[in-house]
Amino acid sequence: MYDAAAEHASLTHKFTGKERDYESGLDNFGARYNASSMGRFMTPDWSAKPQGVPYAVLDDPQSLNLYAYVRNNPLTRTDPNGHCDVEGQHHSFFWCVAHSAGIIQTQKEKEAEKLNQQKREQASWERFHASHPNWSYAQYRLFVAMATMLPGPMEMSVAGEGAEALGGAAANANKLFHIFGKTEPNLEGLIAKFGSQEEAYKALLQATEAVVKQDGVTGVFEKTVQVAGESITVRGNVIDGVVHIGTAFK
Amino acid sequence: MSNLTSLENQVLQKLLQGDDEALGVLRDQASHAEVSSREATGVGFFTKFSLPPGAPRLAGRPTFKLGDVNGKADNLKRGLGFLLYVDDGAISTLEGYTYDEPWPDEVLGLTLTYSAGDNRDLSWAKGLIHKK
Repeated sequence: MYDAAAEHASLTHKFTGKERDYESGLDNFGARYNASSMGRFMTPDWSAKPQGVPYAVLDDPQSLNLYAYVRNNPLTRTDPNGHCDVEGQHHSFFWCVAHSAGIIQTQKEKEAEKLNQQKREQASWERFHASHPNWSYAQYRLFVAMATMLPGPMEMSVAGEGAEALGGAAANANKLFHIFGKTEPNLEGLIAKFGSQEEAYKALLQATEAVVKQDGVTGVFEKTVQVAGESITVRGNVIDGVVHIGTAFK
Repeated sequence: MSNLTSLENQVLQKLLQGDDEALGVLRDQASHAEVSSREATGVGFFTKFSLPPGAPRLAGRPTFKLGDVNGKADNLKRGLGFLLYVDDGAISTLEGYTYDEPWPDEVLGLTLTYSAGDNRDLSWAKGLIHKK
């Protein structure tokens, strides 16, 4: 028996089972059309997460080609909805939508992201070390970690983003010393409870931000906040919604 | 006090201004005190005072912090703040601090104001000093 629907499907569903537009000859991958005759998509890949090149893997130059189909390797990879590289594994449409929205990642993508992050950090360290050969990597990491944790200005004007972070960290190290390094503020108990000045500051800032938000504080303020069961008086300044702590004491 | 910096002197005068007997005692202490140490933290300073033996102390020897003076400066966009530690009835430490900015080599164009505005809220200051 003649099956019109089956014939229509065989005629219209081609490359990897996707529907082919009769007039253009392009395969519909949901998000994009693919020209199987050229082995490429007609529009660049997109991502819900802002990034320079969506799903780029620095080790694989083909991933930088926004028009390529599965990094030009159709024998080992498939692409069920037009922008879902699943490394040969079959996933549902919804998985692919969530994947393309950046909600979930394959293990390989997670590893690639981690690798990219490590490469960026290494490059940042190398740029900084070139101009600051006396700094050890351990010192650099410590100060960058502090710069990430604490708000503050970039005090030192040196080349490279790592160096900028370090400058901010140096300013923040001064701030920690100012607030916690002296006996006058009487905050030794808070440091003991949190194990370090950094953690104590983090908790203090968090508590202060909550009170500032709750009370709608703007400008210079003095507030008593509860941190780990202790009443701490914080003096600061709220500028453009950002809390800048000047000092604190018990 | 002879060895105060100009900034410390201005701030102390502002902090101890007002028609109150206790503030008068603190002004008297300040005029006889010496700077025993001065430490810059990079984002502020701590200046410690020492009083001569027998200097008058506040009745009841209270401990509190006086800090209703705020500062503005040409080279500190977020301003600066101050705190005078009074321990056991005597001035002990003056603290100056910025709000997430490095303390400059020289504070330019300093202007001082009270938290309450041009005039001090003296009742607040008295309440703090005479708090039981």
